Amino acid sequence: MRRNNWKIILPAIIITLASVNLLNAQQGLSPLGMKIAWPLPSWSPAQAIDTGIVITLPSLYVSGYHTGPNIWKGIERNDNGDPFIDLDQWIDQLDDRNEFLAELELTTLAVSWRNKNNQWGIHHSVRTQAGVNYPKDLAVVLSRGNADFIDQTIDIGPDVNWNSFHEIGLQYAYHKPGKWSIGARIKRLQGLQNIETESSKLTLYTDPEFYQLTFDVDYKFRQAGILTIEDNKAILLEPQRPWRNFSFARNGGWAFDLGASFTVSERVTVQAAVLDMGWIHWQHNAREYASKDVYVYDGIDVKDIIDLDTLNLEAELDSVREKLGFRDTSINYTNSLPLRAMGTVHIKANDNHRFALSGVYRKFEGLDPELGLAIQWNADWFSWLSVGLQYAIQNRQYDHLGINFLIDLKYVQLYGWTDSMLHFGRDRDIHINGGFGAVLSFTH
Amino acid sequence: MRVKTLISFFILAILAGLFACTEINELDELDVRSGQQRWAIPLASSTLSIDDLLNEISDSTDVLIDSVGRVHLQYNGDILKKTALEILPPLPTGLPIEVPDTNFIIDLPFKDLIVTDMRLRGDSMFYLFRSELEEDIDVSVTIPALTLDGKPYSASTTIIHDPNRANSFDQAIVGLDLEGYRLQMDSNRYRVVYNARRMDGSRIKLSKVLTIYSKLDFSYVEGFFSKDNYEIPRDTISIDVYDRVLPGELFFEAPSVSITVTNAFGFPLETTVKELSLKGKNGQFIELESPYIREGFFVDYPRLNEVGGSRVTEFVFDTSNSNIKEIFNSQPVEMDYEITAISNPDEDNKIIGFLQDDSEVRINVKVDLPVHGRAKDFLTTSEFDLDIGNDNLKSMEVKWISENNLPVGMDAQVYFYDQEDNVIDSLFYDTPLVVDAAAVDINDKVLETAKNLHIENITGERLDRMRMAEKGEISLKISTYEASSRSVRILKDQDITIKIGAIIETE
Repeated sequence: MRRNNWKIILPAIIITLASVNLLNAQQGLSPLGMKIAWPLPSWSPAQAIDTGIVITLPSLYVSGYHTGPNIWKGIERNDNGDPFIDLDQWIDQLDDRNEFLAELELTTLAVSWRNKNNQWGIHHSVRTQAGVNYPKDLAVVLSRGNADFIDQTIDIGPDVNWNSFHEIGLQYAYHKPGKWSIGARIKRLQGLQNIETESSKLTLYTDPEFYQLTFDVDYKFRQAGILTIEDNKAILLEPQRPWRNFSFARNGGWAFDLGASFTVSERVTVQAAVLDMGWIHWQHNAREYASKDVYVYDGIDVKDIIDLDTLNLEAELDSVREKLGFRDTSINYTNSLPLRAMGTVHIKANDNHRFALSGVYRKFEGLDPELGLAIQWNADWFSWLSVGLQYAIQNRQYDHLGINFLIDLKYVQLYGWTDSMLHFGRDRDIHINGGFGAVLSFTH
Repeated sequence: MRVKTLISFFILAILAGLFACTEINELDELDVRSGQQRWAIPLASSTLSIDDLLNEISDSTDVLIDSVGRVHLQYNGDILKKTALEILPPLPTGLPIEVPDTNFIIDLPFKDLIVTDMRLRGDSMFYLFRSELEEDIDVSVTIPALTLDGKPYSASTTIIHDPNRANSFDQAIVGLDLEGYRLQMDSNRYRVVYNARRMDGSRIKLSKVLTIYSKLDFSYVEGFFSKDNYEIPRDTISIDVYDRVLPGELFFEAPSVSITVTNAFGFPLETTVKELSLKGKNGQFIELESPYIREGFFVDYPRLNEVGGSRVTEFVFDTSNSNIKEIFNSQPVEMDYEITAISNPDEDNKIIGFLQDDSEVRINVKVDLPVHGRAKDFLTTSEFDLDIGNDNLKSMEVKWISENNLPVGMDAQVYFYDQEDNVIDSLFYDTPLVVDAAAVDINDKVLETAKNLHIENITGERLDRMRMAEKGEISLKISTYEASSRSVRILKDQDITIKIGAIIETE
């Protein structure tokens, strides 16, 4: 019977993995299959600990994704052995449009404690998600100038999205030992900075006659938080003592996590969670910036050149800036967090070996959903060390090999992982992530 | 166990390597190399009418388009003025005038002026009556010529006897505010009549009667203004058309100097040009020669029924009555002139004139240069300080486009000088920048736009030399269309479009 089950499960897994090709970014998959016995703030609130208290020390998760060439592979060395990178060569390999995404999640402290069937937790994290979608022509123009684009219309409008916020969460879980667990987490969010591009049309045409520049602009974005754009020129950080003006009442929001686990058998456990069901209402320094115009710059007025006394290049620049500049309006707006869902099937092969099948889903507003699937093998090599290997499909890529470790020194546990070991050596479209942290565990 | 240990350390080593790879550690030292930047940018462009060009070039030049669209350059001198107060100031406070009899004529001391009618302003006049009798005396005074709203001035007072008087007389004073009074006189004279009576009603002549005025000011004076010479300050007009824009042998067909007199004085004037000379570039003065110099010309005046108005008289020195064409085409840079005005030059005493307190004579001298002439290979230069300085600049390809609808063309060159004033290079290497003059018909209408394109590459050693330059000199050789055979006019609808762009390569 067990053999028959595997005949069904394995092809299903293969078919599912092969069908996953609609991915944009990368979420951490390794922690889902690791032998982690504490509730990560970014994972299911139903994750159980043993009776006692677990303190999560600062831990970090980083993720980076770029669709273009691997900048690390572009690093060469000169005769003295000093590293350098040929920017032009790197830019030549860019796609017409390129995407750079970065995520950072720093958990400063998390505490969980359990008494019989009830478990509580509290945590604080700072989370940042930032993405830039930029055209290759923008990189070329900034690097080499526009002379290669005479009599061509080029797209130079970048699309920027950035969301950064504090998160303070309270968690509760109820465990029916050996059967099931359910948990929920409520999170108070405090927005630090948000930038969202709503439209990003910015084209440049260089006329062959005498190189007049035509800018066709339909660019709109909104931003709120600790940065202020002043006079279309400078980006200023919140002046002096930013935290004083940064109460919870401003740029506040809420989010909820729900999770459950079900013990199918002695060897099989299923976990699922829906995370980040929430929003942030941006009010502080919240403004919408918009520019929509077709502007032709044809040089300084000859009259100003004849009479040099009136020639003011700074004023000329201001004039260009004014024409291309953004008109800003004060607004309040709400955006939702990207909804995440994840599920894992843990299969215990024997006392020392475990398998896990994991899947993640995330949906950024206005973007295609992200999916990731992984299969992981974990082994206890020693009583104090577990290691794991993982294969995952992420971002239309089938070469995500992950690796992880967990060092258990009874009261202190250290861990680290990455989903993308092979990507450091990839030529392009690299997608790397990883995390590490430490936990103090006083459980029995 | 040994295999497990090795694999464990192998995995940990991989993880450690991932989080501390060499390249990441050396990010601070990473040198980013990129090639040259090549920017294609428009430097300048405009369509300039002759009006734009001339107005931008000179602050002191007015550009006037006449009724048929011809362009004139004009230089205006300061407005010279002679005001009524200058020629007829208020009569100052004088000594008290004694009225020796009960019926007496007072003669006002106007010079070169016989006043028949005056409107007075807010000053005061006093009459002092003195009696040596030891009783009260009733006194009334009347000035028939001094009226307010048609009623002659009359006032009464009583000289109160003071038994304890310190002096041997008693006195009383009558004062009046002259504002609004009209004084109608006969040859500057008016009659004062007083009537003094004792308590018994008998009429007496007082021992002393004095009249005193603080100042006799007027708002209007009517009478005969005799011949007088009004000095007007000397003035100069700077003419920079040769100095800044078009130095050289530029030829104007019909220059002129006009003197415009706006006269609000109600009597005739004659204006005489005492001197009118033009200062050449080398400092020499050339006198304007004309029969009308020193002979003067009559200036019209408003008549008695035109009080408050003015009449304008213009006199023009042009090619028909002077040598102005010759002296203007010798590149003058300044015009120096002195003008005087003479009132009632014929001393015609039948002319009753007037003067209001705010009336004035304004004299405006104007140089008019209709842009109608010719220039051939006429050279002008101007210098400027230079500091290219940008070491990152590797090359420049500058593109010049002109679309000329002016019948004036030029060959332009820019020379670069080093510290020792040696020419080290020029901006245009093989040939100068050429802007052809537009072809025009005999009526000066443009037949065809003259289009020119010039591309100049500046690289390598030439650029290095320009970086060394400390001074530049723009040299323009200007020619009008068919300059050897004809003059051309520049009309208001003629213009030139200039477009300059560059491809700049930096390292």
